[in-house]
Amino acid sequence: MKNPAQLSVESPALLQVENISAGYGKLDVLQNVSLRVQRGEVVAIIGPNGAGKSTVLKTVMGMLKPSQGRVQFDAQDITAQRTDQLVLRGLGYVPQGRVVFPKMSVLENLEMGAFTVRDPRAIAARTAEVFALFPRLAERTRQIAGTMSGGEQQMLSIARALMTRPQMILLDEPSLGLAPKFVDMVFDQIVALKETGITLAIVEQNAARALEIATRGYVLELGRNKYQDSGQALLNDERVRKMYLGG
Amino acid sequence: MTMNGIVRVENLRKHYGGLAAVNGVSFAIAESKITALIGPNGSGKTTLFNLITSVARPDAGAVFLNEHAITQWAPHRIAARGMARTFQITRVFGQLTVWENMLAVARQRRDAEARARAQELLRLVNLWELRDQFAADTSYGQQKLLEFARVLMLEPRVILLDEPFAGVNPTLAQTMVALIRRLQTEGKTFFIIDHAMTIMMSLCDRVLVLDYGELIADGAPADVQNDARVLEAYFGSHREKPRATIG
Repeated sequence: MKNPAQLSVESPALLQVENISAGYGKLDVLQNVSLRVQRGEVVAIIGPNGAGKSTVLKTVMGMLKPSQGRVQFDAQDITAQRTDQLVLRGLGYVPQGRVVFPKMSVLENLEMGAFTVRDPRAIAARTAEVFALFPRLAERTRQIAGTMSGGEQQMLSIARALMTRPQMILLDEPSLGLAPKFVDMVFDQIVALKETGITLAIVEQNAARALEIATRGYVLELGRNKYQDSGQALLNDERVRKMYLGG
Repeated sequence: MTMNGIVRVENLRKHYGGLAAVNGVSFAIAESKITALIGPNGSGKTTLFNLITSVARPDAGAVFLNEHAITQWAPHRIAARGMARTFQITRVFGQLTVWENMLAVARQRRDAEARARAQELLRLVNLWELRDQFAADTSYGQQKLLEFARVLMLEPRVILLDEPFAGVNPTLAQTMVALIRRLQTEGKTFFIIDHAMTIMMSLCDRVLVLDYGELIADGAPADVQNDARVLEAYFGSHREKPRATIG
């Protein structure tokens, strides 16, 4: 495994998480966690249950205040900023568990994603772009989200996060509980997103799939950094395979 | 197909509004076997579990446990008869500790045997160190593991698991698989919903496939994986085989 210094790159990272500790109540889940994501990268965050993967995303998104450390995005300190302000700054977030507004249509869900955008023409233009990326959603603009399959709901949840034209989105377990056909579809969609140049951080328990499409990966364990390397190197690492990929 | 089994359902039907969630399903599952229930998201799998365990009332049809009609029995009565389940959306007691969750379902809480069993199970799913934490403060994956451990406290003869491997680290999923196999050799019957196909196809003796509330396939894993209707509805035609590295 390479040491972090060998991986460092000259250009400043788009997202830089430095030595954060954070948790719930008295419980510190994260202890001194650091990670960086360069513009255009897909970074996978993997590790056992309770490693703190989702907590990292929540801390970046301002839903948890770190007890120490700082978060920088696009060269600005964003530590503990409000979530809505981070969305305005160009960060998008797709929470775990296909969270859509179940009684609203596909189109209404997307409009909710554009809540911070005032200009109706900008919303219309963005909707068209999102439909171009997600043709399956374009076919069902009036369908009530709660009646769609799990895979389609997950796509809608990702599409909604794109409505503000974020520079980067954070995805929390996008393949959780999806049928194999839709796991493939969601990962194909993530690869398509990557090709548009958007920067991505993905937390996944389906770690092998995430590392396959990732430029780099971080392994967390018990709230601490454990390993980091390119997606391929982690995928081929014996210890990582045995400990986290199930053989 | 008429045959005896430890669990048998006869022409079960359940409608939600205009939607036939379960549309005339009959089958029996054999004792001491591991049976899979798979199908696309929204195909009626969880509804079928709900009907079998009386969490929802069928519009028509009957459920038998050891050939005793148990249709619409109170869920706790069914549990007392030896059939227990877990839920896809976890239902742990958030304001109780992990340890208290385990003992809450034990018949004799002070019983040394129950405590020893709780300890053994918690160690097995890597939750022993977290035993004094509130269940609400553990991650989604850990809550799934707690439910899995807790259902085994009841020592049921028939165990229904709704997506036990979703959101669980692949290496830990292997531990759960080993435990399920061990319990099977002790005579327990398992009925499992999950999308982790690599695990399911090697673990299960038989696979039932639901699509739009109807049984579309029933057979050995190898046969079901090559069934044209199942490929189309579930695996997706372009990547039909489960991948070796994915849990």
